[in-house]
Amino acid sequence: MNKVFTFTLIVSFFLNLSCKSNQKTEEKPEPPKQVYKEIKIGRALAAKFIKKYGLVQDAGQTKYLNFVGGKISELSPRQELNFKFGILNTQEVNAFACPGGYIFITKGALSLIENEAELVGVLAHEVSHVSLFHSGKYEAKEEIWIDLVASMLSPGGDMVSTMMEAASKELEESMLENGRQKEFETQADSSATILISQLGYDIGAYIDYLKKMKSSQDNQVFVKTHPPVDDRINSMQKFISDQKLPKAGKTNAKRYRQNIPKA
Amino acid sequence: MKTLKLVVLLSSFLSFDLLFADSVYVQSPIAKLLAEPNVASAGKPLKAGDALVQIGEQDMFLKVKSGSDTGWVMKLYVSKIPPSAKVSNTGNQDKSGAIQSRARASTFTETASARGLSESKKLRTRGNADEYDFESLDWLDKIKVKQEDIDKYKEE
Repeated sequence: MNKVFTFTLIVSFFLNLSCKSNQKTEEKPEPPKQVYKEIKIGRALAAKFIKKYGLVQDAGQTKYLNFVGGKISELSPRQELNFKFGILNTQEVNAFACPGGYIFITKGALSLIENEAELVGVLAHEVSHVSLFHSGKYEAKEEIWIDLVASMLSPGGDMVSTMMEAASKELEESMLENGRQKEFETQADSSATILISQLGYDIGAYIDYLKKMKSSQDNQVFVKTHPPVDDRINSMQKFISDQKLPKAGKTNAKRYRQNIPKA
Repeated sequence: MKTLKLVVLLSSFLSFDLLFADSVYVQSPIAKLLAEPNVASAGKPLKAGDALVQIGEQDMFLKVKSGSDTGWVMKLYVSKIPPSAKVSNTGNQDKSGAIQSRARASTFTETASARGLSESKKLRTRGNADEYDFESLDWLDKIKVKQEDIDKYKEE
């Protein structure tokens, strides 16, 4: 009996190890269901922002934005997501990160930005919110009804359930009225400085941009929903100093201006 | 004693993943296992897909075990979601739901027609269709940065 027991234990141990190594050589599996749920909620919220502000449908500017944003999202831990970057048609100075990887920056923010390093800072901050799950982790409770009906729609059809509407409404309020937790904004700023320096850009440019936002006349929503700029800059400068991040880097001002003309 | 052995025997067939309940997976190609919770500290590169066991946390860093090594990794470079295939933003419905739905499509379509619902592209919400613009979102989803675009973006 003892021999049988020991033998079975050893065999099952090696079987488990074998399963693990097989998983590594297979193609990547489908992500867990909560990712699909996150994307559905993110699409609902993104469609709401677009309806509210309008989407700038300029292919040239949007492609450039996705080119820059793509360099940042390549370093993100959310490789199962297809990050998309869009421009909202409003003079308000702000940027938004929707769950599932939809990132928006406003025309007002783009007109305040003077170089690519500042743009990278803004987009890196927003990508970090998604990367660090600041909008929630989305338990994968089955919504069989919504999945069944939505899957009957031809490509391009969308469906918004009561749950999605409630979730997107709550997120919209946090982005436009109440703001996220202060800790999340601090984490996103710290993450942004890491990403900026990893990509070789000037970290100081992002700090310059925050100072410009503070003085902008179109910053009401931003001021309502974020910690005071001076507090953010102080936290970032301490993080940069503690982590010994290189401050100097490229700005690519010319390339920015070639692709985002001055308004 | 026999019961204890039986319990141990049965539990040995369970996936050893139970032992890795606090696993995080390396997702970023630039992740390193650092000696200290500081990006400037010495570190060895980690491979995308590596499973790490989280044993602590400090600010933006997780304390982890990678095999027999212990160190720190930036939170930004790991995820509790294992490496997975990329999800299409538009075709993201669950496949099992789609298979079931095909079997019931005809019943649904008849009912939908009877209730005056329109063709498939029409947005269906619980009463607030005017609050969404999915058509413009679809435009954004179709934007692709091609190599010919990248070639135009010359570094300064």
